[in-house]
Amino acid sequence: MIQDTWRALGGNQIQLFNRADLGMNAPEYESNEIPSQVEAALNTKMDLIGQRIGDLVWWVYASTSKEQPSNLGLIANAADYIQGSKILGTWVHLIRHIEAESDVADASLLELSIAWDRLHFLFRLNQIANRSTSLEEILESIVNLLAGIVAVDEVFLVGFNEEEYRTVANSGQVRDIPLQLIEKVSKKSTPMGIHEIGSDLDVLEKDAPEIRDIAITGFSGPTGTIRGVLGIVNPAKGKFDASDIQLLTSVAEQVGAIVEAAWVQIRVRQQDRLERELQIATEIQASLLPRIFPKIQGLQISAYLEPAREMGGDFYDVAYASNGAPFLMLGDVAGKGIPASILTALVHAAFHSESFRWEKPDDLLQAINHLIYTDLDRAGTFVTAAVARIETDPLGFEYASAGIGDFILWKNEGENCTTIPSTGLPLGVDQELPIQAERIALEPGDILVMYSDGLTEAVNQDGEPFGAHHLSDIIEIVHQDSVENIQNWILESSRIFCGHQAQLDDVALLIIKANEITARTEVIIPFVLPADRGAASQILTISQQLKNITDGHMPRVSSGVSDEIALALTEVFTNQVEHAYQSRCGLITGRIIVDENKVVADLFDRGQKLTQMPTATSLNLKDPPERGYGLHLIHGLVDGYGYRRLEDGRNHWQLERELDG
Amino acid sequence: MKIDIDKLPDGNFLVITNGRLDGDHAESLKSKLKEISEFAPRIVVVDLSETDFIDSSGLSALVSGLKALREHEGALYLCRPRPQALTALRLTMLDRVFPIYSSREEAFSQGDLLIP
Repeated sequence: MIQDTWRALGGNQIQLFNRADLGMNAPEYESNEIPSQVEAALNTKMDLIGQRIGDLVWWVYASTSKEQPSNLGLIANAADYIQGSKILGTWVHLIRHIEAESDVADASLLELSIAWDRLHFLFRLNQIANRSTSLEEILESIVNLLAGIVAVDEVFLVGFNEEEYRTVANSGQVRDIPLQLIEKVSKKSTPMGIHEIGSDLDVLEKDAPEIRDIAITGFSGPTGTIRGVLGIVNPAKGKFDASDIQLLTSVAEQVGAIVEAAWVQIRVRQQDRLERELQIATEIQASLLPRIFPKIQGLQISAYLEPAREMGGDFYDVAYASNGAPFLMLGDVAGKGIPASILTALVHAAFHSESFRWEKPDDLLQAINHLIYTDLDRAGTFVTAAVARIETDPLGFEYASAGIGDFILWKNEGENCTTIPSTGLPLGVDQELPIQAERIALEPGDILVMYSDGLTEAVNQDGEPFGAHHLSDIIEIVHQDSVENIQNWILESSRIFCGHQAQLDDVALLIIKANEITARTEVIIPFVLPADRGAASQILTISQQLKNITDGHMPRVSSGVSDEIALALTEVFTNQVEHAYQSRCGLITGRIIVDENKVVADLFDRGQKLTQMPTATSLNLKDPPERGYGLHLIHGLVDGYGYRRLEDGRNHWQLERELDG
Repeated sequence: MKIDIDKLPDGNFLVITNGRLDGDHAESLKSKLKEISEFAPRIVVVDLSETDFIDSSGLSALVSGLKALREHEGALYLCRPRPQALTALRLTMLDRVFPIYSSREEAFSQGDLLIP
């Protein structure tokens, strides 16, 4: 048993011996030699020594009996020095207890086996602490185990930490342990007997069996903080003696560490369980999102969802109408995190159970509202959601929005963005949902951008929101790209805009684009830069893309021309950062368009209107000015340039450079 | 951007600018040239061979440096500009303000100009 216990504790070799074994007949010890340190310990009657000899730790217990020299020894190889030391320390206490009790100098094998039972008790305590899932289970096991090795009527234990307070007893009846008694016990380093308890005895005995004798002691965790008290009541032999008190002390030493560890472990397990459950819930929520979007002739669709925390209240979804056309839905449950995410599942279920009954998106949203109104009302929340039913002949969509406004529609022919307003109240506001539907045609190149407010309400370091206006600015320069790229540009621009600000809200994004019919003859290189002088260095990289254009019918842009365009763009960029933004946060968006015979670069920003056009100062060669070379450079580098303030409050610079065929 | 400064035994200075000469880097060059002017050197040569990009703020820094040096009867010469820098100097006509040489030696000895 001792072998098993020792191995379970992480040790490997162990040997227990009587003095008689000393010599050459130590069967389990491989080298057949008792190190001199061990012999010395036995002969000098040392209580206990632990010696490190190579990887081995030798533990020797020698009896302190006066009549007989030392008689018991233990040789062990402890993998864990600290744990070995602790367990064997207790073992020594237990042996002393046996010796004191039986007054037998030379412990018999029987007594030794009792000692090992008690050692095993500690081992089992450790096992319980590792396997139990509840604190009660651990505390109960401690009192039951203790009751098994001491002959008493009753064992009780009070355990507590900063938040909790638990009392358990083996007798099935839990005594009322007065707080002032616990405090008194906690302050004492040795166990208290019946005479020290005083008036608290009345409380202890109230509605419980009479106490003939009692020993009660505190126990503390590794940090020394008192974590509980342990009491034994009414010994079989009538009164407790010194050895009982010693036993109680040594057990309490172990229990303190175990209870503390149990508390920590339970907390960790609860945390782990919550994290695991959250992980599963996150996966479930992700699994509710459509994996595949319907392939619709002439349309591209992309969708994106990023919760601010593990789970969120934003969602997008696809289901089919009664006429077979796909309904695309994007929504936002008010609130964030797990509470909001639970309600997204509710909307998901309602959407999928109702979609095939309806043809019109407003009817569908009314039906969903009808189904989930009571639950939303009870949860005290609401849901904004928009549904677009895609139509292919003619290309377009029928649309209804319960409380989400400002979706963006890019009209390719007019080359401008318009916003689509909400057509009704959010879901969950009223049992009857007043809502209309609208039909919107999609021409080739048109784009619908549906998004949750987490995208547009994200703020930069100045506290300004990204807003639908910045979203439009981005779409304007990247509309010619694929929906996936448009999505990436939008997300990347939002990140550039927000700088190091953390994402505070969930973001959902759904983009639908009608394919362009004719292939573009020009190459477009979009760019989005923060209004920060340091970002000027990125312009060189952007313009270098010009050199990589390998379209057969395009003229090759030489390295020199690309550098010159970079310099002209840098001058405009720096001018706008310094004069339009004046060190405030912002974005500068733009694109370089290359066609068969020229390069045109546009830069847009939302800084202040330039009150004064930069002018090229006249150059006095004898006394050249210290500033004002920017426009000289632009003038010399490009064939045409211009600045205008747009009606939507943006600055627009355009540079044009002709290419030699 | 790195700016290396060598004070030569004859009291003249060699300044080597590396990388981009724009924005904050230009500010840094401007203040370095001002510090140098306090030594009242006869000639300061800025070697642009390691400068791959210069914009108007870089040009401004050179002009400011020139003015600071002139106050102490000194001169600022440039040498070995790359094509991008040469374009910028030409377009602003600063190639007529700064003597530009094809090597450091030519510059210090005021030998043959790169752009006559």
